[in-house]
Amino acid sequence: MASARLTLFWLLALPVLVFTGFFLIPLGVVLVSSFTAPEDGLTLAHYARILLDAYHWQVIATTFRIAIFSTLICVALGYPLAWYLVRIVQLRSWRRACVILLVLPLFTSNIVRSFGWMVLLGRSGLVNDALMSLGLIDRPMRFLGTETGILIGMVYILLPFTVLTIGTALARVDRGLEQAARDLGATPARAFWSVTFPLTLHGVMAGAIIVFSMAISAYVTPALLSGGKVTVLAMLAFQQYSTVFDFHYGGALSITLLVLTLALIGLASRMTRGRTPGAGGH
Amino acid sequence: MAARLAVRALALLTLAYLALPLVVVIGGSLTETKFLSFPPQGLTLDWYRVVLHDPTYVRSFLTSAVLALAATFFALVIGLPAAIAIARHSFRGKGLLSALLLSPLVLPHIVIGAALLQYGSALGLVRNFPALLVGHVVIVTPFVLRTLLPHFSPGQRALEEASRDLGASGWTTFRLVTLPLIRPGLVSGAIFAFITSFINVELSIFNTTAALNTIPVQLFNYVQYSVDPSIAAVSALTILAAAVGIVLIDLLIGLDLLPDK
Amino acid sequence: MTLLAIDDITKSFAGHKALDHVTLDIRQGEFISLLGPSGCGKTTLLRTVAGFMTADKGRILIDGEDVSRLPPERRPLNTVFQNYALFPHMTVLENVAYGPRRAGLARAEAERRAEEALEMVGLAAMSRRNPAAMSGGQQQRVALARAIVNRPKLLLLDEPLSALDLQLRKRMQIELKQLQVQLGITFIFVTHDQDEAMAMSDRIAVMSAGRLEQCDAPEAIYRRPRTRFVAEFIGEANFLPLDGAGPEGVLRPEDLRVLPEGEALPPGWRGLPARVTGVTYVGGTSNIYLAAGPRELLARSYGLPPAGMTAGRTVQAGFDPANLHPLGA
Ligand SMILES: Nc1ncnc2c1ncn2[C@@H]1O[C@H](COP(=O)(O)OP(=O)(O)OP(=O)(O)O)[C@@H](O)[C@H]1O
Ligand SMILES: [Mg+2]
Repeated sequence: MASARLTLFWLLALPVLVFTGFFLIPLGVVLVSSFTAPEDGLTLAHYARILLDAYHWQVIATTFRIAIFSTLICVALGYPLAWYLVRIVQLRSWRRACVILLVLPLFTSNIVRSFGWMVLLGRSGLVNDALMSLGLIDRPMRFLGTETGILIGMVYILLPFTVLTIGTALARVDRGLEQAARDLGATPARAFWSVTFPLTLHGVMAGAIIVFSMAISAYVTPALLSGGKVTVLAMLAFQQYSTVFDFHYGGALSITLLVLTLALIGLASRMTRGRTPGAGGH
Repeated sequence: MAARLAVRALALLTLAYLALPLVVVIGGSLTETKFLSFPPQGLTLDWYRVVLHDPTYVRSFLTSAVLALAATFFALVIGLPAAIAIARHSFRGKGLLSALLLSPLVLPHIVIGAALLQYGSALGLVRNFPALLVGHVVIVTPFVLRTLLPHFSPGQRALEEASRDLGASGWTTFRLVTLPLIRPGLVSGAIFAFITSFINVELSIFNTTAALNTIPVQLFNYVQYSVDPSIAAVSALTILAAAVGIVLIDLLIGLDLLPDK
Repeated sequence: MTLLAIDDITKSFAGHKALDHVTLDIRQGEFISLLGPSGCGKTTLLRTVAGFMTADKGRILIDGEDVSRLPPERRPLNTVFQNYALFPHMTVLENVAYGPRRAGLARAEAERRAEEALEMVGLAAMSRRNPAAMSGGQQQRVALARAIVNRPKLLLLDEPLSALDLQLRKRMQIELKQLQVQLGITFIFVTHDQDEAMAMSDRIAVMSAGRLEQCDAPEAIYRRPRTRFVAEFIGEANFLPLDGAGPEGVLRPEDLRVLPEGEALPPGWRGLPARVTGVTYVGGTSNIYLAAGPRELLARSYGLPPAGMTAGRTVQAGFDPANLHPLGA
């Protein structure tokens, strides 16, 4: 089967070349420069600067906080919406419209999506107007430049992912199992928590992983909604490259971000493995 | 019943939350005022006229479109052979290779962008179209690969064998059997790749200049210091384009994102 | 004349021998069934002959020509796939015309041939349909038409009838056999169903764990199984020592007679004392299960079991030694 080897070579030549040349090696360069300094060669100084400094820890904590809350809220809002779309909506056309509304944000730029929130969350934006006319607040609240504002924008951008993964898992659950649980004396709530929910857990986890990894490395939304008052890791890294031009320290920040992302994805996929019934979804 | 009602209410509120910014952007673009206001005061399409006559917007739009087309083309040229190799051949390091080719899906784009900038400065590959292109190819190829892989099922393989059995060469089989059957995957992969490239900021931002700019990066830069209705008009146009794109996909290949019961 | 020679083929998957020195010669026009338990290598053998797999060792010869290194499209044979493998993006006619088109025929001529083949399987009226819009039996016929349209010398069929219900299956068995005789094509037919193999084949090849155990005419396989495996796999078998002690032979249940204790045996017969352990009466035949010392035996006869034949009774089991076939011969 020498010809099969040859075919394989030609199939893989370009992909391997491009991804080595423009992905692996560049990341390698970043890795190397994060461990070196112009004067004194090999050094851990850049990582020390990150890890021994309260400010950096505060940025990392903010990044994590936003990512964790985004994930939790996305699951908490995404599950009912997925349930609604899969189990409650009867009218096909309405369902279809909802799905289009759900994926439309995925097809539009983060900018456009965040831009809408900038308008909405502004001092005289719609949200403040509504809250004031409802009498819930009497002075406009500040959303822009707060973590709450960023969170509102992030959840907005990431919510479709959880709805889609949970919805897919939910659609695959055999309704007969729920009926069996009901038949065996379970209340609807009991049947949900002991049968349906565990069977959709892999969808929940898959969605959560996507949301978390995207939230932790998000740049555009925090940058736009922070008004320069909240800083996350990706913003810090970007500054080093775009304004300070410190590739070594910037590299260390990038690698930190990369490692955090990979570690969390690894952790989450380890947690879900062995606990996913039917392993239907990926 | 109460639970069901609560779920329904929560779901509808969430849907409203999803619709709100889009409504605001589109509504705001129609205002007659010089500042962005929602609900719009008066109705006009003037801001669209402004945008469509602004050469920087038009140029950025063209750059984005050409960039996305080129990135999609290369993603197909790279992703299709890779998918065939991964699905149809056995070789050492296959798992590693597919992890490598899919990893841009989960890695922070800002890091990939930074890496390409630093690496590109050594090669002189910065702030020009090829520099933009290589980055985009790297991040959109996984979309093609991911949508293609499930199409190479055992059933598909049996069909290819049937074709060989009936006297077709490997190439003829690819042309007459494989390609027509993976076409939906190719089309949706290409659409995802195109859109991902078209709306990217994190990667492009490292390599754009005043003369060479993409639409999202330009918007990003504008939005940071001014919020005027022309930006809403550009945004509304991209929402419209996305909506058209989605409806097209839905009609062409079925938007199979939530399977039917 | 030998059409296909399978010459000492060995094939391993990750150390597991799926085919173990298989050698088999198949004559022009023969109907051969491959029979054996799941996982014994039937599909692997077929795929090796068709060219979808390369053997680790051994050769495949068709008409004396070594085709071992030829790709599937250059081998003068066709296959009916288990799940039919009909192209879903083509009509029935396009499916069937695919082969002739690849053989270089113009479209019109290829379609004429396809129509002819469809007529042969009784589907002429459905040529414009989509395969997905057909029943399992119809799809089966399309697959058959597609495989015979080029008049291959050799047709490989991997459990072609296994997805059909019993009645359709019986009808297709007859039609397949008629078609084979009419076209004079050599068939290699994989099946799980021994009755099917018995009814249709000129010879049956029994496989076990990658090895070819025996290849013979159906009655020879049944009457004179060469190994214990074949004897047990085809029908049911009693194993008895050939003469008092020593190597064992096979005695089919219908050749074992149950007689009351003390009754005289026909001349030349052997008898041994046994105890009845169970009696069943199914579909016009009675099965009497016996224990003769440590040995378990089965006797089968037409009609109701003899009166008073109940579990626990002591009887004698008698047989004509001529019916006791030595293994390994
Ligand atoms: N591609 C493969 N990779 C690894 N092992 C294989 C492969 N194909 C077959 N095998 C193994 O080879 C052995 C023979 O398989 P084969 O499919 O030929 O059996 P079979 O007789 O057709 O069984 P069945 O009656 O179930 O179809 C099995 O143990 C199987 O697991
Ligand atoms: Mg098989």
